[in-house]
Parts: sequence; structure tokens; C-alpha cells
Amino acid sequence: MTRKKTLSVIGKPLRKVDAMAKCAGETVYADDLNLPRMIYAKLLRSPHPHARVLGVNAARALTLDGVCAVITGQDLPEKFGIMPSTEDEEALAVDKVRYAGDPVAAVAAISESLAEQALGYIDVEYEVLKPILSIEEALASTEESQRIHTWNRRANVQKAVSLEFGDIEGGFARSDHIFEGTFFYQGNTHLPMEQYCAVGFYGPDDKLTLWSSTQTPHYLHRALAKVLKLPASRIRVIATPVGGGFGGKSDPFSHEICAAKLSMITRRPVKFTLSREECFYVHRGRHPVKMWAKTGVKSDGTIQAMQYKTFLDGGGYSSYGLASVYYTGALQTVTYKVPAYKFEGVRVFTNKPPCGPKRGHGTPQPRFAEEIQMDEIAEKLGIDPLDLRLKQLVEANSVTINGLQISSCGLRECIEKVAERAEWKKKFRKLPFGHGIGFAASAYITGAGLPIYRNDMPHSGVQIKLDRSGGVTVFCGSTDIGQGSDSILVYAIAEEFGIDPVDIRVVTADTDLTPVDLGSYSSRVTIMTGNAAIQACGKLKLMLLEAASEALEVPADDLEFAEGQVRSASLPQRGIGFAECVVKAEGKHGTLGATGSYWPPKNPREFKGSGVGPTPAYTFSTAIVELHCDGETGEIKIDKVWIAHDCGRAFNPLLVEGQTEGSVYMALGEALMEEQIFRKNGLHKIPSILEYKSPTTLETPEIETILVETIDPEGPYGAKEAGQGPLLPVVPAVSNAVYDAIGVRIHEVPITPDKILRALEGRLKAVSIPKFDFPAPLKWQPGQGVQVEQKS
Amino acid sequence: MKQLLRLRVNGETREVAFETSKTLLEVLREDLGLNGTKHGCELGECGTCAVLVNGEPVLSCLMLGVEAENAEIVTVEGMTQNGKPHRLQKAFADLGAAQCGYCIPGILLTAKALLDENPHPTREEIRQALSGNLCRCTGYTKILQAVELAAKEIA
Amino acid sequence: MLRLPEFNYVRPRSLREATKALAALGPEAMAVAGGTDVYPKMKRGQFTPRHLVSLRGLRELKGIRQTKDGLWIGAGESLTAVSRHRVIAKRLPALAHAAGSVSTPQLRNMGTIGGNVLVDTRCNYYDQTFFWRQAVGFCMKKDGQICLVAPGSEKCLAIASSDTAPVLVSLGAVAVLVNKQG
Repeated sequence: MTRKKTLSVIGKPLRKVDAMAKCAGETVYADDLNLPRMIYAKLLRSPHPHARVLGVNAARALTLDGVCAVITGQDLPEKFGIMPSTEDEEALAVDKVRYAGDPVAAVAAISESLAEQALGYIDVEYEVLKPILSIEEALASTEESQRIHTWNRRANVQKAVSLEFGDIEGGFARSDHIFEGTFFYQGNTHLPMEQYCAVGFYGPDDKLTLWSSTQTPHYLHRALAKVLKLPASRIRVIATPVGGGFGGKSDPFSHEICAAKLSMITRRPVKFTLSREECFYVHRGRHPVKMWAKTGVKSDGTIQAMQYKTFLDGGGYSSYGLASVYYTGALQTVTYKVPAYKFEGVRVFTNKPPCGPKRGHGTPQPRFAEEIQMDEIAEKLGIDPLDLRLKQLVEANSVTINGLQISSCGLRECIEKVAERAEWKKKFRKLPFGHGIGFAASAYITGAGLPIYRNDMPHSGVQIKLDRSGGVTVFCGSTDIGQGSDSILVYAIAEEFGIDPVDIRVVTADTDLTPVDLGSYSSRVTIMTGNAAIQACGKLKLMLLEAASEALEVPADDLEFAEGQVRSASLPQRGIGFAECVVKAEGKHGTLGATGSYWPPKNPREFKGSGVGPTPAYTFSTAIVELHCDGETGEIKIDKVWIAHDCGRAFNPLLVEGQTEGSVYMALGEALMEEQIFRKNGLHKIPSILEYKSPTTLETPEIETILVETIDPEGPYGAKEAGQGPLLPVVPAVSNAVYDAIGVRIHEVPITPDKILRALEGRLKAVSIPKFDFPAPLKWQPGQGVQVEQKS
Repeated sequence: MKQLLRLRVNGETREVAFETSKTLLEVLREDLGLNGTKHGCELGECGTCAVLVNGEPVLSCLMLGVEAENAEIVTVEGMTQNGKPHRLQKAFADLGAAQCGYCIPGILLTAKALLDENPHPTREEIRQALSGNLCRCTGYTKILQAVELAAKEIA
Repeated sequence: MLRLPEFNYVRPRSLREATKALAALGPEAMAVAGGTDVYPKMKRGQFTPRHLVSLRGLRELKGIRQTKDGLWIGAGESLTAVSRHRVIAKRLPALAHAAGSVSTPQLRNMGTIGGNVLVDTRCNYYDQTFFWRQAVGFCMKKDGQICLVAPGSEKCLAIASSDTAPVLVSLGAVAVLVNKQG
């Protein structure tokens, strides 16, 4: 077989496979499911941020006509959590609530209104405890009596880490200039337009089906088996099309487990649809992080050493926190050459909704600090900030000081292109007061190198069935959350088989029907499912080629799959239709199906915590933000954002642009207005869309996207991620542009008008950094790791 | 108490009995099987549930079903006529303007009302018209472009 | 889904019928026109009327007319209609601007100028769900004793939240009030 030189599907701006259904209103989201005999459920949530639950009495609620069942913590005592080593959640509080909004009981009734009403008839006796609401309070609350959780070693510290790479002291000693700064990145939430929703049905066959708006059906499947104490083989999880995720639908949740449990009791389908207010309590969003950053440079600006301390406000539970804390230190080394690097991070428990993964997971916060500090270094040394970076970029096929292996790298091109389009040289430090331009760069992972739970199985599985009609059906556990992962599978297979994407059906995200894919998180789906799909196609193509070769009397190595045919590459008129080829191959080989699997390259490092950071391929992004900042009112108006992103290959440029534009938009929300904030009593201050401000069409500027293609050796057709990385540079670029506009540095987000005004008046205080004794650092040198070869 | 009412939805007259306290959103989704209308807050804050009532975009979460009596209601299902999608639907599909797609029905209908009244709006007019519809996926860029593309097809 | 509690919905056919119904039903009744303020507040348990008297479709409240000494604006006209009305845009641009700045396009299509003038006060302690207000402790505006913004205050600190009222006042507008006597 010959490899086609031109691609007919990959790289084309095609419609997504589900585009028309979505535009016709025919996509069935979780809340659109209506099953016979279905009943409706609600969660009773704690009004206290921190309290002991002394008793829950549901007797009064159960007497209401139409109330079918009530469950409490006693019914679901098994703990769960996304990370196996920090399972500290309960579906319903067993003895303690840890944030205002923590669920304590669940009711199912014949109508949603009745279920809501019944909540008022459940009597809960609380012993109210003093809440811990800040990082400082958590670190100071070291008494056993002040603990939020009992399992962790040190009171209210979920995880403290310390890593040291290279000669950090020597690096700073060699430096001509040392830059130190403190930063604060406020927490914010995903706010997907679709509220959380799940439907559980425990059927007469003693099998459970759970439909849910989830990004991670496989992990949910495991959690359900554990908490419900059912064999996993009798549980089926179906992820419905997700109406926006951004990381917020990646944990197993109380409402999912309770929908299943209530159905086991009532033997009727049970639906939960959370209110918007509840979505703010479920949260799992961006961690508020305080940071201290130190960089030592030579007088020409080359980095000699870099050191970070990060303090994460984790909220009431662990969630992904173990990974989050490592991510705040993992990728600082993946843009500029850093010869020595030290990172210390700590995640604390507080009595607030748990934080988790939001687009960029743990990396936007330190990237904010790093890129502002780079801007400050350039300013002090009198070097253009772009030139400062260009002289010390990481390179393709290199290893960072913390052992991360970079394959393709388009960072230089990203910088040059974005600068050219934005006319950087003409504008930087040349615009009038109140008008500014700022730059930042970043790197991100294309899929986590390790799964959430330790195992040797593939991260992604794809199964393909060929039909005598010429139709192809692909089965994969991946979950389309709007990013287009269903379409990616179709494009890859259509390209491999040379057929029209319309002839391919996709069945995804159903644990009964589809091979496991770990889920839509960490920007892993395109690279992992794409590679698995290509592998499955490869197996089928061998059979198809054998049949076609016989039928056409053309040697298999002269055959190609193109334009709906299997044909001779040298004599294209000699070919048979794809359907006919399938028929012949089925006659020869029997029923046609094949599987493909994908494992990321082995982790190149081998120390505790080394699982966070490695990836099959890194992406690179650069952003230039031009804005106006009113010195009188402090208001910021973004004029335009230029974003360049090294996506490896644009699998479908429309989708890559869409991910990039969406990332820029979400970054601007974080930079300017979005914040998850709490009252002194621990209650969420603004749990509504009206008060939690996010950008509308009026605040979102023109976005110019530049896609840089580096054809990564590990990516399917060279593709890398696009869904998260482009968020990263935009936030610091806004801060750097504010400095260019009005000459004040803002080390905090969101950059609100009051902060601008305080800064202009010299009243914006530096971010305070808590005191904490980090553990002794784990020291590691490159070369100590496992040798890993890049695929080529 | 349920009331039996006649509603004009997508050019069809439908007789339907529902509680007076039900919003049009609930009636459409729960009593008429028109699940294309979505909801994101039920408090009038996100624009997701927008439908057309007598040609004007309104929020179905803040209007009673009974208040829609005698009005012409159009939902996203009604944009497809005789099996042919509306040019806005095609443009949105062609440009990738629907990512998760959840906000799209409300945006399509709001954009339809705009184009019905102003067939060739400027980008700023489109921004203004859609300023009550939140979308978390797209950054609005492809949505604005899709409305412009659909407008181009109007002679 | 956040839902409305049950209530009795009265649909008078004339302004006279409406005022009579409101008088007859007493304090447990509220008038509703566009519903953009009433319904969210009912869903959040801030308003708990047993009866809603609809002012929708009352012809007496419609229309924007030039009169001898100025302009007569029907309270039932939508904010969109007020903001786009030619005469208002030309002669009272501040009013057109104020009406056009309220909330979002869809809500301006629904909300009326009368409703905006009479809009309930807004406050971050008050415009919250029943769950939230109960958790924080009710304020004097609804179900509680104190003002949470200023705990020492004897009255609610929220004065007015209307976008159009300040403009109307500054323009010297006169409100025509009706009761069951006319």
C-alpha cells in the first residue's frame, strides 16, 4: 500500500458530524431524556460551611403523598473521589459537611416541585463548627480539633510537595539580576450553559444504567461500582452529549450516585437536574492560588535559575487536587531554557466548594506569574520582551531540566507570526497613555501521560466494524463535550479508508458498547483516540487490501484508499468501490472488525509526583492583547487579541480555531471579571449568572487566530491539542498590556477597575504570601530517568 | 389546576392541558415534547431558553404558558421548514458555530428575529442583538461570522 | 429546573377589571405585566403572592401618543418599544437610552416601562434563593429583622433600582395612577 501524498479529509474545514442535529435542536442532552415512570430527585444541601451532622430524620418527608424515597449518608457510606489515593468524598455527608452546599440527603418524588418541597421536611441536626475560609487560616489551623478531614497527615494540608532540578543555588549565584514577585490568581468556575444532569435506572434485570452529562464516563463507572457495591459488569454509564464541560464535569458527583441509589430503591428511572445555584456549589473550578516566583538572569536576560512556591486553596475535598498542586509547578520549564528549577507547592483544605480541573488545570496560575515576570525582566534590562524570549526558547527534540521530553515545538514561529500580525514593533511602548499592548507565551500538554488510576491498559480503545453496505461504525469510549471528538474519529477513519465521512457512524461514551477511553480531560482525546482509530483502520486495511489485490490483480503495495475506492495508485482507473471491497474481504476473512489501542510514551521520569507533566506532545501558544484602560474609571476595553497556537496539525481548522477562540474568550473572563467569591460566613457570594459576571458578545473582542503546524511525530497526522493551551498566554498578556497602557503592574486576576484605580493611586498592596515549612525537596537530575524514544 | 389551552407553535395549533404556574419553557419541553428549547438558569439571566413570540425573541423561562395563548410561537424545531434547514442553521453548521450546542437554539432564534427585521446587520448590530445570549464555548467569533454568512445569502 | 410555586392567575379584560380584582384580592395579590421581575422573585421565594393579576394585553396600558403638553406613554409598553420609539428617541433621548440600557434585548422585549418604574429593589442579600437567604439569615426586606448590608440600620438600605425612573423624574414626568374608583 502506498501512503497518499495529499489528504482529502484531514485539514479540511468540514462540518462536525453532529452539527446539524445541534443546530436543529435535536441533540438529546441528559435533561432531554424522559423515561416511562420517571421520578425526580433533589439534594438537600447544608447551609453551613463546616458542621458535624448529628442526625438526619426523613420521616416527615416520607409521609408526603408522592414522595418515593429519601436517602441519607447512612445509605451510601463508602467514600469515593477521582484520585484513588485521596478518596475523601461521600455522596451524602455521613458525619460532617465541609462547605455550604455539601449534600446531606436526597429525595425522589413524582414531580420535581414535590421533591423540592419535600426537602423542607427533612430534619437535620448540625453542630456548627468554625469554618476555615482562607489559605492562611488553613495553614494556621494545625490543631487536631480544627481539622476539616482526618485522613491527611498534617491538619488541613492536603498535599505539600517540593521538587528540585539542577543546581538551583549555583544558578541564582551565577545570576546578575534576581527578580522576585508575588501573585494571586483568583478562583473561578466553568459555568457551562448546561446544568449538571443525570438519570439513573436500575432495571428489572438487576442492571444499572446511568445517563449523565459527564466528561469521564469510565471513571464514573468505577466510582458507581465502588460506592453502590455493585459489580461493575452490571453497571452501564452513558455520557450524553455534554452541554459544556471545561473540566467541570470530570469528577464523579453526588447527584450521579444518588440517581443510581434512588433508582435501586424505587426501581424507577430517577432524574436529577441541578439548578444553576447548585452548579456553583458543585464547582471543581479553578483553584485560587497565591504564588511566589523568583527568576535569576544574566545581564543579557538568559535565565539561570527559577523557583516557585504555590499555595492552592482547594476547598472542602481533594477532587483532582493531588494533580492540581503538581501542575502548578510542572510546565514552567517548557517554554524557555531553564537550567535549574525548584518548585514547592501546597494545597490546603478550606470550607468552600471543592476546586478541581478547569481548562488548563493548575497551569494558568503559574503561567500568569511567569509571563508577567518575564515582562518585568525585559523592562528592567531594556530588552524587547519578545527578543528576551526568542533568545532562550526550548527546542524541538529536547529535554527540560525537570525531565520533560519535547517533541515538536513551534514556539518560535508562534512568536514571530503573532508579532507580525499584531504589528508589535510598531506599537510596543509607543502607544499613548491608556492604550497598551502586551505579550505572553505558554506551553501545554496533549493528554496526561499517566491515567488517573495505576494500570497497564491502553488510555484509549477504538473498535471499528465494517458493514457489507460499505458503512463503517466506530465505537469508542470518548465523550464529545462540544470540542468535536466524535468528528475527529470520523475524520481519521474517513481519511484512512478514503471514504466520505457521511458513511461513518459513531457510537461513543457508552461503557456497555464502547471500548474504554479515559475521558475528555487533559486535552487527550484527539491524540489518543485518533491514534487508536488509525491503528484499528490499519488492521482492517490489511484484510481489505488482500481482497482488493486478488479482485483487481494489482499488488497490494500499489493499492490506495481514495475517493471511495480501493484502487491502483499507478493506474487509478483500476479500482473497486469500498463497499464491494468490504464484501469481498468479508467473504474471505469472515465478519470484519478490528480494535486499536493507544498508550502514551512511557513516563521519562521516575520519582514521586513524576506522573504530572509528561505527555505525548506539548503545544505552544502566544498571545498579544491590545487594550484601552481608562485611567479615570479603571475600566478595561480589550480591542483585539491575536493568538498563535502550535496545534501540530489542524485536524479540522474550523474546530481548532473554535477551540482557540473559546480559550481566548474564557481567558478574558478570568483576566477581567470572573471570580468565585465567598462571604465571611462561607456562603458563596454570587451563585447566579447575573452576579457571576462573564463576557457577553459586547465584552468579547475580535480574535485573530494563527495556526502553526509542526506535524508532531506522536500525533495522529501530526495533530496536538487545541482545547486548553491557548487559554494560558492570554491572561498574563492582559496584565502586560495594562502595564504598557498605564504603567502599573497588576499581579492579580481578575484585573477589575478597582484594582486598576488602587494601583494608579499606589494603594494596591503586594500579594501576601503565607508562611509554610515545605518538606525537604526531592532532588532529581536529568539523565536519571528512563530513556524514551520518540516515535518517528 | 390544569387548564386546557390552544397554543400556536411552529405553525401548528396544539391543544394542551397544563398547570397555570408552568412557564412556556416547561410547557414546550414537558407538555409538547419540544426539547430543542434549552434552559441554563430559569431566571432570565443566560438567554438559553429564548424563543420567538410573535416574531420577537423572549425568554420562555419568564413567560407563562397561558400568556402565550393566541401568540405565534417559534422554537428551534420550527426553523426547519418542509425539511429544509434555515440558512442560519446551515451557516452555523458550516462554520462550526455550535460547539457543545446547548446555547445554540436560543441564539439561532434571536438571530432569526434580527435578520427578519434587519437583513443586513453590521457586526455591531449582531453583537447588540445577541448580547443577552451567553455562550461559553465559542468566544462568539464563529457565531457572529455565521450570522453574517447567513445574512449574505439574503438577496 | 427552577419552577414557580402555584398561584391563581387572573386575566382581567380591562383596566377597570384589573383594579377591581387587585382591590378584591387584597395584599395576597400582585400585578404582573412583563413578568421579568415578578417571576424570578417568585421562583426564589421573595414574592409569594397567592394571586397574580395580569396586566398583559390591557389595551388601556398600550400606546405612545403625543399629547398637547407632551407625550403619553402606556405603562404596558415594552422597554424595547420605548427605546425605539421615534419621537422618544428624538425628543427624549435620555429616556430612550435608559430604556435601551436595561438588561438584555430579550428582557427588554418582555419587560414594560411600567414594570421598570415599579421594579422591586435589588440587593445581593435579597436577590437570592430561599436556600441562600435562609443560610445567610433572612433580611428585613423578606422574612427577617435586620438589614444585612447595615445591621444597625432601621430600614432597608436599598432605595430604588429602576433604570428609567431617574430619567422620568428628571424630565418632570407625571405618573397617572388608577385604583378601582378610576
